[in-house]
Amino acid sequence: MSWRGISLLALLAAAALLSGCAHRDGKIELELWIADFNQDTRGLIDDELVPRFEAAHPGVKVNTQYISWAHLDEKLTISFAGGVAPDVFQVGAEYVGGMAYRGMAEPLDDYIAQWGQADDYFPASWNTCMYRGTVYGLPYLSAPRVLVYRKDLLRQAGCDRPPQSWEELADAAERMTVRRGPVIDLAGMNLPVSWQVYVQFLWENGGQIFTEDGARSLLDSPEAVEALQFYVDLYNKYEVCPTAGMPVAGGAIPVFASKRAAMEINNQFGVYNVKKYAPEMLDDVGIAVPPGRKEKVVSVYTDWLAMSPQSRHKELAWELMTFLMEPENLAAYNATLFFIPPRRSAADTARFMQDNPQLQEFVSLMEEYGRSLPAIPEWFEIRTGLQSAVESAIYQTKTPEQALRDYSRELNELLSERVEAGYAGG
Amino acid sequence: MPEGRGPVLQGQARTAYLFLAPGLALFFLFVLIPVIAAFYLSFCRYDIIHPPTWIGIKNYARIWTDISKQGIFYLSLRNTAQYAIGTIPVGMALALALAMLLNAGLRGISIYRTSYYLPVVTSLVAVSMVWMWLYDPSYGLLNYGLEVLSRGLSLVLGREVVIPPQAWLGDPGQAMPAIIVMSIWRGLGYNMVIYLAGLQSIPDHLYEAAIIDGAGPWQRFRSVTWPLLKPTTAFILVVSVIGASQVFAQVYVMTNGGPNNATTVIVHQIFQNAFSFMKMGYASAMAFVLFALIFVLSLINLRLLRGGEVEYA
Repeated sequence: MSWRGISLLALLAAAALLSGCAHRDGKIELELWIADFNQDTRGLIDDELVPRFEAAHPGVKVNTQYISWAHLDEKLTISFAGGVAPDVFQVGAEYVGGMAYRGMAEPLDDYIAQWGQADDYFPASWNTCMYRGTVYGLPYLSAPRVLVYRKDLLRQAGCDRPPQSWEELADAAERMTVRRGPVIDLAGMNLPVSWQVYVQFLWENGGQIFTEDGARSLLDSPEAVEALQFYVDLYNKYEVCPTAGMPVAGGAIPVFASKRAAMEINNQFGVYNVKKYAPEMLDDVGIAVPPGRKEKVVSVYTDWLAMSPQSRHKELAWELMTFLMEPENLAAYNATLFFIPPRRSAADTARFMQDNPQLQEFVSLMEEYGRSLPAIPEWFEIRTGLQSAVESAIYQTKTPEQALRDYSRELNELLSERVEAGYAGG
Repeated sequence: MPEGRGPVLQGQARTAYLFLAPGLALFFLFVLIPVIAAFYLSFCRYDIIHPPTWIGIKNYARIWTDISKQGIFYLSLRNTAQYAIGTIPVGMALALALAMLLNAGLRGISIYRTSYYLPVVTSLVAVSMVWMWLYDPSYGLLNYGLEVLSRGLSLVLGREVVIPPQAWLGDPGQAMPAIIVMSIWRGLGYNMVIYLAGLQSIPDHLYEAAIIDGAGPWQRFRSVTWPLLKPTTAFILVVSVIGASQVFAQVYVMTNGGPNNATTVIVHQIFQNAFSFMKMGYASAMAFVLFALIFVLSLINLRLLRGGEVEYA
């Protein structure tokens, strides 16, 4: 082939590639990224919500992408770096500080003031989207963690009410635990080895992870050490909680729904699993505020919708956000996933909430005791580091005190590296 | 027109460059430029969103502090070394043994070759997921085997024997061995095929001569097979060390570095810092430390196994 022929081909190829980027039919396109989804959610959004939004906004096309949590961080980062961030996207409970700090979420205070529906949201859910007094998103789904327990087993163990203190919790768990040789057949308490469980115990003991201004670690405080000690004791002293996986019923049925645990700290999925795998047990499942030591707390994890500061259609992006937040739309979305809708009007009216009396209890506990994670730009590093600290204590490579002292030092170093306000200019 | 070159040659050269151009363009765009950029970034603070700021050797200093304090990067170095020591010798020995079995004139050699090679061409992520099911503490095949074993033992011994189910990937002591076993299984076919090729290039008359000299099977292996396979062994060793240093996918999928950081490896740390913590500069510095490490290890390997040039007399 001649030189000219080849260069012509190359040109054509380049032209074909470039033309792929242009808008096909002159419509305004909004990009929406959803991270919490299943088949039902996709059906709801693709076949119902988006067509309705597009019908109400002629000339607008919504491209929805479903992105798993495993890839969300890297995809968001790369799309922001490339200047092609989605107009509206979903993020999780630890995100607001980092998003605000890096300029990856639009401050929404003005929109919200005009909208006037902020009071309808549960405070713990709402706080998830707030960093230093500014709101950066709208809560899309909530998961409050409560004590889920078996009423029948508790009665058999001679307790007439759910445990009210750490001592009662350990005592009840010990009484209900059933062992066969070295194996725990029925766990008095079922807990994952997780920083989130530790944060729950920490709050119950009146502790905090870091100072209110996010400048210094508080994990070396006596409250923090006591909380980790109690968490570790459930495994290694009281031995009511197996570190290894429990043998459960076949088919991936979770421990509690396999009737292998008497109590657990879980969100509404604890109830969902029982409904799905052991419906006959449902009446024996009780919901209560976790016992607590100095404070009674329900930790609330909320995923929310943010708007990109790079969006070229912010008004429309806001309209899409508020459309998805309309009570019936919000309820429909949460119904597909069995999460708690984070605003009262949706939680009160939603059919699936009314059909599940236990979910109503989650809502009232969340109203009374709900607390969300404090916002800080370094959450991703903190959750990784805190998880290591918790694991090293539970797997007994360090004492709780040593684990927290070591991590506290690391955390202080990390927090001291933050470049306040210097970023935009750098 | 340039002197001394005819129009024909010039035309040929132009065509040659033209054909090279796509490859070179890709190499520059996706290899050379990113490598240079990463080297520059390893001296910067860079969160991807904002322009990089020069901070000198701070990132490298931080790696040094981490190692001297036995921090997380130190752990990842140690785990990577554990992984390499766990996978390479056993993997190579098994591969050689299999290759020799297949080379012994087994019937249906191509079926065996294919089935051992199958895991190599299967997606590593898919393989990892399958092994996660095998290792699953509640309904995995391994714990099921333990349960069957304890029932069998109870029957035989006439008293209850309980072998507790193991957490495998969930246990800090078992997670790395579990990943190592899976990785050996996955890599076996590749090394085996290369060993097989090496074995088949050893001329038969050398073995015939050895037999005439009265050499038994072990002596034939020691004096003929092993020395003549030296270049093959060197190649596999170098490639395996590089591969082990860069292990990532199975760790990311199966344990994400846990539990208790028992399986975090160098590339996992690079990935985490770059894409979860948005510390591209620090991650780039780690990447260059890894590069230096692989470079030195490869030099040592090649030196150790030098003199492997074989002449079949």
